[in-house]
Amino acid sequence: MNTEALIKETEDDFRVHSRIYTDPEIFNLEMQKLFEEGWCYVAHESEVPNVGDFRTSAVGRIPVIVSRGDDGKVYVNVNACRHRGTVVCREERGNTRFFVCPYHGWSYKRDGTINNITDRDNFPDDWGKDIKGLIAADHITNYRGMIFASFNPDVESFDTHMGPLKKYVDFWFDHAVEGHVRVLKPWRALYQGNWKFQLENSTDGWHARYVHVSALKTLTEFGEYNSNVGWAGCTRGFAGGHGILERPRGDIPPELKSTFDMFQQELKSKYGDEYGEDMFVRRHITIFPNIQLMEFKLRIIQPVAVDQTIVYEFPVELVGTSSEVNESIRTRLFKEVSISSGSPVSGMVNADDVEIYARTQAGLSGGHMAWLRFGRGIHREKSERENEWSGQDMDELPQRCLYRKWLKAMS
Amino acid sequence: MFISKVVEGNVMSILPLLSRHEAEEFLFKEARLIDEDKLEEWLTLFTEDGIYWLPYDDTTDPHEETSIIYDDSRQREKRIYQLRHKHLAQDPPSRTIHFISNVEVEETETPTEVIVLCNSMVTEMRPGDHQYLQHGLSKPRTLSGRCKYRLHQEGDDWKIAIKQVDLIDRDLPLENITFII
Ligand code: FES
Ligand SMILES: [Fe+2]
Repeated sequence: MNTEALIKETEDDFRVHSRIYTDPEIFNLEMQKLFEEGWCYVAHESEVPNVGDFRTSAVGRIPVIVSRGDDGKVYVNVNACRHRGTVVCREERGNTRFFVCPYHGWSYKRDGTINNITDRDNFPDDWGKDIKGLIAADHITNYRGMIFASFNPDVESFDTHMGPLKKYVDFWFDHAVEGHVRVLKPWRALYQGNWKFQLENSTDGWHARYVHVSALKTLTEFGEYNSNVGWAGCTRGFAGGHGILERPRGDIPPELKSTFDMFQQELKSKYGDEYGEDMFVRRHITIFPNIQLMEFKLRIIQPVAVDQTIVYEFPVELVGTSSEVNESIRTRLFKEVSISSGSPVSGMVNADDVEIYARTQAGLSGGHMAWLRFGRGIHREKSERENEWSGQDMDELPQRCLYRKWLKAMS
Repeated sequence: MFISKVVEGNVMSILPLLSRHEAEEFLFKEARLIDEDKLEEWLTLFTEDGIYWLPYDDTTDPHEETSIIYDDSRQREKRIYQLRHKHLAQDPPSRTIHFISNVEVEETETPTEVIVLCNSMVTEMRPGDHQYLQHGLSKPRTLSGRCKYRLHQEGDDWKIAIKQVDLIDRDLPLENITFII
């Protein structure tokens, strides 16, 4: 497939072909090149805290089991029996000693290695000696509790993949006194549109004043949004395809203000004024290809088909941080007082984004509207650091960086 | 099912606190208010600290874990306010039809409260796309759930202290629920 022809960049314009949102063949190639052979998030460490804990997940199209072995390490294995391929574990999460295949009873240990091939007597002596266990991911990495896997023996190093984004991801995790988070049970949403709409959207600073008019009006009416803060901040894009939307923190409702002030003061005394100031800026961080670190929640995008996507949103608890702060965060998330929060299915904000994704998918029907344009601010992209660019808060810079990386990874 | 009630003149008589028939009337009225888009009136059916709850798992504390919806009165007011002010996901708004069945009334420790159990099936459809371009739009969708109401007696009226709906597909990824179940 000639993917080169799908992204067209010139000096002053940036176009993306509509086929990348509608063509099942491209979808399959994306799953292979970006998810299975890149670095794909599979689970958060806090979901499998104890020996024997497991959680089923996916790397692109590949079903996997993420489990904690007897040695306390986290393993990622393909969730398919080495005999004839049956899914070995169907529960979403749990704790077990063995994974036993329901078809002919083969069993696997917690780390995925083979425990027992049933009826050994009926095989030639050496038969199956090559079967060491479930098929393991080629690489696993744990970055601040986020577990990533790759089914590509030659995948680029995780450090290279992250590049200068690391600094911002660290900001996010440093909000917790102990430097890591625990994820709560997720909200789960399904929408009828391509997965990249969600990927593009979280760092799109332009759409909120149109799509979220009703949410902003409601929050203003109920005294939960301070519109004087205005629209400021910036966008950032990275060579790894990642992106950031930065906004000043302006929507803290009066009843939570003192807790949040105290929270920031604690961070400043821990890290110093400058770091404490910088890290506390509100950021939506997209880690290519499927993670979004939002305000105190971790969002995972799980593509199902070219026009269907699941989104999981895990609220986080800041480990070691005072229960008062954690409670305020939960109140803020659960009651949707923050404009970027709330249940994605029935909340004030994401439900409207989802409507746009489905509506865009509809507009691309028939393929005659061939080129989507991402030109805003293309004439003023700045780079202060290698592999990192910045633009104004509503510029389509993160999306351009995302598609530059897309093209590189897909070719 | 029946408790003693003191009526005027200190004569004891046996009356049901809330009969099944009365409970049905209450539920049918609520359904009608929602289906006829009289949502401001629907708000008045709740007690002041009433809760509208669609749990993922009703054994967890809704203040500690996520729910599909967990609305107190302020949240419900915000929800209806947004519906009336160009909520994109409700423009055009959903049409709904509520079917209520299997109604049972259970008494509680509190003399002014009853539990009403029922099944509900909600058929929902958003019109507005006569070409069927947008996947999921202009197509009726069915949500089924087991409901548990805690009703509280306030004077002559019964008010909803908790309305809990356990959808059969609650633990799956769901499409937008921006209308009232
Ligand atoms: S397929 Fe698993 S034991 Fe046969
Ligand atoms: Fe949005």
